[in-house]
Amino acid sequence: MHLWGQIIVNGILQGGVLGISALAFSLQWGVMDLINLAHGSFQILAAYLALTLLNSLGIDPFLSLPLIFLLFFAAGYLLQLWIINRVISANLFMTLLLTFGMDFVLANLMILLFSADYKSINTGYANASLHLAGIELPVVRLLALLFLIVLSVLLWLFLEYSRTGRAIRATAMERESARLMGIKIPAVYALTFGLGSGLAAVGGVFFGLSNTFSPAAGGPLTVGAFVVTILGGVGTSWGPLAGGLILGLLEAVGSVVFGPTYVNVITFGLLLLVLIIRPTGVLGRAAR
Amino acid sequence: MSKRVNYALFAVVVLAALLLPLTSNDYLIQVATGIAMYAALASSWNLIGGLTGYPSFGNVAFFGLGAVLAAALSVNLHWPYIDAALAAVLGSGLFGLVLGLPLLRLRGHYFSIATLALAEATMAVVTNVNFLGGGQGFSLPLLGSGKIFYYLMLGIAVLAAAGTYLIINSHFGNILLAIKSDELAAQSVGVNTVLAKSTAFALSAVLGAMVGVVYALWQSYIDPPTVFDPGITVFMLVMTLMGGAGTVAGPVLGAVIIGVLTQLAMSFSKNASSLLLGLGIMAVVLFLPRGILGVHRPAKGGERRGARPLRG
Repeated sequence: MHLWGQIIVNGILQGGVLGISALAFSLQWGVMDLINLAHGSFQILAAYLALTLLNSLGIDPFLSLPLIFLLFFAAGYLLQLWIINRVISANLFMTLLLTFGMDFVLANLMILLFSADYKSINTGYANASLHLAGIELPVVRLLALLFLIVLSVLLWLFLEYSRTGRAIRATAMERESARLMGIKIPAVYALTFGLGSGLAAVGGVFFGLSNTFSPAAGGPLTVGAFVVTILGGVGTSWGPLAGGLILGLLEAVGSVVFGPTYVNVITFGLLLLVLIIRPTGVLGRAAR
Repeated sequence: MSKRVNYALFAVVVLAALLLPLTSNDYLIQVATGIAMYAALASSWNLIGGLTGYPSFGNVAFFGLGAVLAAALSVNLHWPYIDAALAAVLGSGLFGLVLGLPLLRLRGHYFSIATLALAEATMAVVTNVNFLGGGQGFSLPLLGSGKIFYYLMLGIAVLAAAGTYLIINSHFGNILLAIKSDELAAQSVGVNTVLAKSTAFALSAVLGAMVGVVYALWQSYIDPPTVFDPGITVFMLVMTLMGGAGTVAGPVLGAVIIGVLTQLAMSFSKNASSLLLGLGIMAVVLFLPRGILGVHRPAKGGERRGARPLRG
């Protein structure tokens, strides 16, 4: 009984880490129809930044988190404004290729700067756990789930009730009409990508706190965000939470039932199945 | 360019490629084999991505499946490699045809992700099936000369280019073009778009698998992470877009340019070569969005987007 309880808790907590990563991905995809193939590398870069700040200046990752968020927000804002906006209205190959090129540049830059070795962020609490009814709860992953829930609520409130959030949603629904209403589309896109980059960085720091990472870890993170986004539904505020929990649980249970080497068969088989049967995801609206 | 000039250019390029091994420089032949291989792969991607306008991110599945099936049949069942290769190519083509039916109902990003998932799922299954080599992969007997693989890859590349030419100038090619421009309109005038798309996907799979079976023998050792590397798909895509999607010579030109640039970047700085390649890809997107030969507008992936610039 304890074994299964532990497996399910592990799955739910893994879902938190997966969900934060997908929050940004889903936002950028939903609003701009942009698939950011450099998403995973953004996250790993944020993890390296947190690691560097900890090792050289002794700043705890949770203290540097707001700083890292702001830094990635600004970088993402400018990246979208100066570079991605130039090709975003061309066909979708172009944005895929552009972000793939960015991913290549970032991943290889990280190898040059930080070497290809595996690193981990060693804080005093990195391996700490709470124990509840015989079940082990790693503190960092628990916090990741908490952050995911809080960030999902904040994002939902922002998109639903703030003026800027409404502009973002209007742009996502009908770009041309939004433009006619006086919304500055390039600025909305830059804001969305900036927000996405900031959220991706937060997810990256949590990933770095709960896993070892190397510059090559970006690709799998991007693919994971893909899967979670599709499972939850593109462009929904709660999709990443739902998708993250579903995937986390399925992977945890699947790796016990079928063996750890079958995790990818489950993940991608499920993804294919969802795409074929219900391409809008679990929480998605009817197909557009 | 007139047709006659095109034929003459084609003949000159093929002749030059045939005579290249006379230099008997092993390094050069190895690089040329790689370029011929990617020219064939990019041409195979062009059939579904360029001509039909479906942005596949999973074509490496066919390359990998071809390599693994051929190796499995020859090592485990002791089939002669020719038989194993034929069976692998046919099997991969059938795989493409059958999976094309559900996958090609998806459009745009969804098709991209579904094909990416297809490739990853194929790799995951292969890794778990012992008959297909599992995680260890296969060792195949070494064959002496590197020249034979050069000619084999070159042969497939020429076949792919010639096939693309024939398709573009056929009724089938017109159907694919109609699907790319406006699938709904094509359907409404009675075109069986599902059959046409799946055929294009299967042809793409057959060519990819042909390259795979030759690759397995050329490298003499294959394992799932190498032959199912998603980067291979991305290279097919980048080369095709760089040269010009939907054209005959575009994928070949793209393969030559990227192949040469990679070597140059390697000689310039071994560590930074991938970084330079990434910057090169970004530059192509920003400054050459229609490819070098892209007279036509490149494939339109999502129907909701116009090519208008983003206005405020």
